[in-house]
Amino acid sequence: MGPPPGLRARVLVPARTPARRRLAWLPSVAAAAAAVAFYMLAASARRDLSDELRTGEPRSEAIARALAAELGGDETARAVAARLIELNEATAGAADDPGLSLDAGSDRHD
Amino acid sequence: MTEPASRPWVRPAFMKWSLAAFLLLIPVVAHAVWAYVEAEHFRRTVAEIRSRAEPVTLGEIRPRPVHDEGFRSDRYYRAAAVLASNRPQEQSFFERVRAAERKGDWPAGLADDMKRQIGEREDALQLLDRAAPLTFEGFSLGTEGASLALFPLARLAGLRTMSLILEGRGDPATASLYAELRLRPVVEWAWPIFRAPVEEVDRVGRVLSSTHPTSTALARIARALADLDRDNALKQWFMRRRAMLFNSTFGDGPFPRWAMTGAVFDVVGLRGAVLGRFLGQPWFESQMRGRAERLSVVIAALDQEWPERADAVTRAYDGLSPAPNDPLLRRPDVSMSKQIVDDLALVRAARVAVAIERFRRDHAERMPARLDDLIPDYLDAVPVDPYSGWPLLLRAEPRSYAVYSVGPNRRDDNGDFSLLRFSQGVRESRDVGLRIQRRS
Repeated sequence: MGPPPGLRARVLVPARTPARRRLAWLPSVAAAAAAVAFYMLAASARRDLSDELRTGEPRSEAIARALAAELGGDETARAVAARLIELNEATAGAADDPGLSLDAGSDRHD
Repeated sequence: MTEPASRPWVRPAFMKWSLAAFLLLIPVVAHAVWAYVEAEHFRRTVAEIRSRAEPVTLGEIRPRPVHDEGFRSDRYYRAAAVLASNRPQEQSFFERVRAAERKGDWPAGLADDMKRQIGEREDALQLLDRAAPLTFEGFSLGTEGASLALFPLARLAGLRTMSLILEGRGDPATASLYAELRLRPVVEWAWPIFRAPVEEVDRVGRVLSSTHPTSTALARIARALADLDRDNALKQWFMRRRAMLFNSTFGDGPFPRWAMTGAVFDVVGLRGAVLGRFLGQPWFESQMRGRAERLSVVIAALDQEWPERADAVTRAYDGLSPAPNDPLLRRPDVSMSKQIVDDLALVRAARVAVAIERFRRDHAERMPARLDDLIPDYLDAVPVDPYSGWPLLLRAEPRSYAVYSVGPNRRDDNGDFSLLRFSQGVRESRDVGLRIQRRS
């Protein structure tokens, strides 16, 4: 017993439609996933290149080294330099703010 | 009654939107793939250069100092540069001096003005003199400000040398010239793309022609000149150029990484910094990689011996398949290579001239009969003429002598330094060298 097959089909087809609708978005989802994957791969390659091709030491380390040398160059001087930079970062944002840099490079004499 | 099988699988509205989304995503995927391919390609290019044990960063070309002595000279040079910094109104004065130097005509009062300028910066020059004999191994950190201020220091040192030459004081002029010559690698360290010491070498000729320095004083500039006589100068220059390109593309270089792409999008009124970086990145990388690969071909060509090496850059470009930006890049590269070869010939001529003068001081002002007579006391070997591959030439004249290279026309014009032509923006003379007036 039950509804006639035609009626049964008409009732059940709409219930399956959301799955089919979702399936229609599959190419778009796959394309988006591919784009994300390739962008991530590109970013990884660029990160490697950036690490390999940068010239100097981190700027904060360079500043710490120069400051430590100015303060005498011993262990205490290095500790004081590190502390000063921490304080500088805490109060002014970042050690590599050109306005606060101890680097002679930020000076302009010309 | 409608049959279920005849119903659309997905309603047309959904189908339309999913198709639109897919079509919109196609360029995004293409851009992502392009970005990945370019980044990987760039990585392979860098790896290939590394496999040839060639430098890819400026840090490998100009290492940081590790010894105390290097650090000391760094401090002296910085301090001297700061003290030498000039004021805007002095620009016209330096231009007057340069014009007088070029013409050899010194207007009344200019020499006094020069002395006054030197007197005002005496402290800078004292620091420079202290730094000169020390080994320079690079600035400990931060080069931008110091390197800018090195130019006024170099100019001031040149002013002092000229002033002493005008006074006819040979040994002090030679000592000043020594400091100038020693300063040149320092400037070059800070400014990786920089020419050879042409003005200083010109002053070597003036010192030798116009004054009579002792053999001891000359021995110092002989050493300084020998340090500047770098057989691999051409290759070094192009490797620096490539390292700077890498450094500005991916590293922490001095040039804004996305200036090019950002600027393009700024022009069309979009958010240049962000959108330009994102969309233009692969294009920018492909441009930089193409440039790096062409520079690598040029660098490989520079392994040849002289005189083939003198034309290697031109020939390397001739052998490359044309690229759209060739007219923009080929000319500066070729003209710079010509300039470097010319400068090298000039530095070598100066070395020989200084050796001849030392020989004359030790031999009652007698000229050596041949350049070989200078070996081994004054030169290890007669420097090779980069334009001929043979030793430099000496031409003795009644009251002077010329030490020279056959020049870009590869012909011995008997020490004729007159202009032959302008080629690729470079002044080409018939022969390249120095003519020294003999004083006894």
